[in-house]
Amino acid sequence: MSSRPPLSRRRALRILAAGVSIPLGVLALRRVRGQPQPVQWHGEALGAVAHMTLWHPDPGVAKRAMLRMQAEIARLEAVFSLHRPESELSRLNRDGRIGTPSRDLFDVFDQSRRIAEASGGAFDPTIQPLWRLYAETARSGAAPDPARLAAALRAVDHTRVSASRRAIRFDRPGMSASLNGIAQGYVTDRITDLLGNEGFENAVIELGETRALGHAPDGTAFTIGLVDPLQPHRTSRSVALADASLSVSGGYGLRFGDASRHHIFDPKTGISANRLAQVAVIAPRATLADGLSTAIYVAGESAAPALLAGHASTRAILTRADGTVLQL
Amino acid sequence: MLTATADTRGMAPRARRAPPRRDRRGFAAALRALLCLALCLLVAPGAATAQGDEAGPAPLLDRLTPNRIEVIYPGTTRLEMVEDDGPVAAAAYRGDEMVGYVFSTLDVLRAPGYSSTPFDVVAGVTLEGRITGALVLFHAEPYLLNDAPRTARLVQFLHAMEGGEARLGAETGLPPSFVAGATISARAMRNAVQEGARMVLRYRTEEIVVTEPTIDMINFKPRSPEELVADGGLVNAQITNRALQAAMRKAGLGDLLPEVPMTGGPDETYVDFVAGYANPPMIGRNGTGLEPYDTLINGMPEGTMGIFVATLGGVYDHRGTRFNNLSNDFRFDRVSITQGPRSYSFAKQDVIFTRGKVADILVLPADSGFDPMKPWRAELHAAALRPDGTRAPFVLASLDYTLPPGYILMPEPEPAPVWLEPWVEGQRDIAILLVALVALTGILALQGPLTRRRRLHRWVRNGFLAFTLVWIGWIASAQLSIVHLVNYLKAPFVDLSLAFYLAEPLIVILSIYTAISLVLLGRGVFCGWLCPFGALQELLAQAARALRLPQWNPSERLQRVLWNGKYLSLAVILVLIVIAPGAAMVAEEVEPFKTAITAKFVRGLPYVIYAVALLLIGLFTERAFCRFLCPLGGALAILDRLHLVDLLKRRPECGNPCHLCERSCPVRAIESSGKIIMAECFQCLDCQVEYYDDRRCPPLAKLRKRKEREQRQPAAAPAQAAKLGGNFA
Repeated sequence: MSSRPPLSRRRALRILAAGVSIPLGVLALRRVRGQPQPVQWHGEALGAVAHMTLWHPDPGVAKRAMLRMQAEIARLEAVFSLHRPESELSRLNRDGRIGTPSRDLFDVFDQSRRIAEASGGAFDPTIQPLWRLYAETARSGAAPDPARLAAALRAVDHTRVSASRRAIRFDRPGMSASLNGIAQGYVTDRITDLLGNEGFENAVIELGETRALGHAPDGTAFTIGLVDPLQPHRTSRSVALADASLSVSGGYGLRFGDASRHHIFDPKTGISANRLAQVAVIAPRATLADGLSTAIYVAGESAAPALLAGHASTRAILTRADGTVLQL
Repeated sequence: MLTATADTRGMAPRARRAPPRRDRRGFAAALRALLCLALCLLVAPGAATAQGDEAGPAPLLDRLTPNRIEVIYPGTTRLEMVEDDGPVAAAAYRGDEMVGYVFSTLDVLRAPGYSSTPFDVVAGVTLEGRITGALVLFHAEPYLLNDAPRTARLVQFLHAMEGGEARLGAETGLPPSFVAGATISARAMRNAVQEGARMVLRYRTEEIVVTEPTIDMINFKPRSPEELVADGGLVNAQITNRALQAAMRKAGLGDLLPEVPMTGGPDETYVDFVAGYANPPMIGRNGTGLEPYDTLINGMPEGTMGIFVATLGGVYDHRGTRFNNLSNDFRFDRVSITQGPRSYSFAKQDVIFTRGKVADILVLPADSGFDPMKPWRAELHAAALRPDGTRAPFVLASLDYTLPPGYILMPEPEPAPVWLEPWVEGQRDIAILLVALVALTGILALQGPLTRRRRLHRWVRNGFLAFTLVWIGWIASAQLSIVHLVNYLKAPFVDLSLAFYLAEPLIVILSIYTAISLVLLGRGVFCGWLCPFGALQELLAQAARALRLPQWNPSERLQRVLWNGKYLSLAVILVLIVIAPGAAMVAEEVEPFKTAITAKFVRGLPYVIYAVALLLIGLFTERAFCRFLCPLGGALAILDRLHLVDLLKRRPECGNPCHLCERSCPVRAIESSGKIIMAECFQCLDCQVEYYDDRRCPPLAKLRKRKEREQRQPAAAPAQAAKLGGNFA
């Protein structure tokens, strides 16, 4: 168009009108579509009750995404489930060795090793022999026999795990890993990352651990209730969570017989840790939050500042046995 | 007829004779009054007829007054019947929390005590399997009726069950012998409470998972023998005197007399015999009662099997007395079991006898080779007496038995894979998309006839673009994006299951169609026809042209540079995915697809402004984003080099001297040499419309004019026409 007409007033108005009509059309379209709608899923992941809430303007998109995430959770169950005899972790526990582990299993062992080292062994992924012992003796309601406890303790040592991309191996007989919690943190992270990658911007993922993707659609942080450790059927406080993870460790979850025997063991003594009533850790990723909360719960209040300092953007809410609360 | 009340707090029982009452309402009123003083109990045998008749007991909740509930489950604020197929029970709530179950032994077990009339004891059980309390509502136990001290002791005994385990035979606070003189009744009630509690709980708390067909050892409902015969759980032979004689004749003993003489006429029942597999509680427990069945299941080695046999009537029975005789080696010789080649006969020690009825369990050890899932036969034997006094045995009845399918738990069918669901649910959407893709294939295949008709082409083109934008984009949210491509590229390196990809049917179908069309025709099929954001831009550009907005396009040289923008954005994303996945997610936002299509502009303001800016630019430079920035377009354009077929037609005159198509191409994909750069072509077919337009395409126009001239002057040079015509091919 070599002979372009001069910019007449009429032409300028037309351009202006076209320029304004697109934003107006967009506004109209937004109005038609309304706000993001929450779509929820309730189910089970790694033996724990699981929830996901996704917000998306198109519920169909969120529903399909949910299905795809279920497919991924099912795949990860086949890696980490202790209830499935054919899961990778069960095979490793049974044979003491597994060749060419999946990337997922290796990653979790790798992260476990780091947190175990950082916490001086307060967090230990190889706690499973203790767990089994307590679960067996819990039927009678009594404390485990000291000799058997000592035997189980000998098989608990995170430094005796060699994990590489080629194989994961226990160096002592009788060892087994639970990856309890940290695997759930990993699944939580994995699903949250996938959803973020799919373009979701507001989601709360609770797959054993809690992670918030973005913030609530109204722009505020998500509010997550913390269980009152002294009265586990009610919540004591709430935590604001946006683009972060929350992991809560407390002995009130699963108990063996009496209240002092629960599922979080001190790997050094083989006895359930009872220094603190509850530890809640907020960290960018669920795997980290999980490892740290267990480590602090076992190691106690004094170890918390150093553990938190070693990891960026982490904080913790500790509840002492007497109910007093310490925020770090 | 009130019998007794008792203080249940462990003080000396204090019997009191209450004034006689006729109706149940008065009974309940009295109950309330007395319970207010202490936890007291009234036993009303007068209610027996109401509960023992065929209509079955009244609904559980109607039998439970608040005071009764307070005794059997203290602290309960609300009861709610559980609506499932399990043993009848009501869920007990404290506030909003469900804490346990309340049930009646009459509903759950219909267990009799010393009397054959089943008693009714109501009880509660916590979710942890502890009994919370038990209260007898009705009984017909002969040694308890009208015996106030004993009844008081029974009440105390049942009350002392609180805190005990829900397990048959578990220790209770007081032993059954505490109810002196009615120990059997007390034990029967205790057992019924324990077993009932376990059943109520087990059905609802234990997940029954079977991996292969398994005999149902869980489900239980009270059933009469007649009901069991009706559902096949038992087989039955009613032998009349006539049938007995027929059987004897068949055995060649027709002129002898049976060992046990007949009574009555030929149609009188001689024996009414039933048999069945005893291990399912529905058969064994209903047939024999709690204790004999418990002996079979818990008192025998693992894997022990039992055959239930019973005589319901007649003068003859399956037991006889000879099994008590040493001379007969204690043989239980009136019944034998056959399965295939194996035949089983029994002795006294192989039989679990039931007290009070002629019903027994014949024990088959685990290693007997008996397979309860396969058919078997029970034979009832009798004997005729020869004149010399010797016995001539014969088969009186032969019953073929197969455990009905209702008693076998089948494994859950393999659940359909997760990804299948959206394919089934999305059938309608899938069908719409497939129809659209078939239509698009048709458009591309028949592009010659289509592009000969300028107006039709415009309608078809704009119609399809509108469909792509509104349906594929906004309604079905099936905008293919760089995220999908990246996921597919990453697939070999990450452990995502196939299901993860397959769960988006429309995306899968579009991806496959795009891949095929890319190999055959080039990138334009997706970018020009199936990309909703592309469609949005093109439709807006057409509106802009209709409004005569000024259009700007870069020079050929500048455009060659700008085209590389999309390769750059693709490269940045691919590199970031490897080195910084988090940053790659930000980089992927260069696509406004999520904002404009999937989220329909319901997103943060920066995203919306970005998308609107791209659309505004598109008003003046058609598809600027597609041509210069789109990473997905970049990826497709790279692969476009592989395409196999060129359908777009050209003439030798194209580019030299004619530049018509070059200028009419909305995205300037035609070089001044006349060559179409397929990597930049959106297959809009506009150039083909020009190609066939004999008023605009100069060579055609020339030919048309010549033809018109020829029509006026028929003797024109045909050679020239032939040469031009050859270019049509």
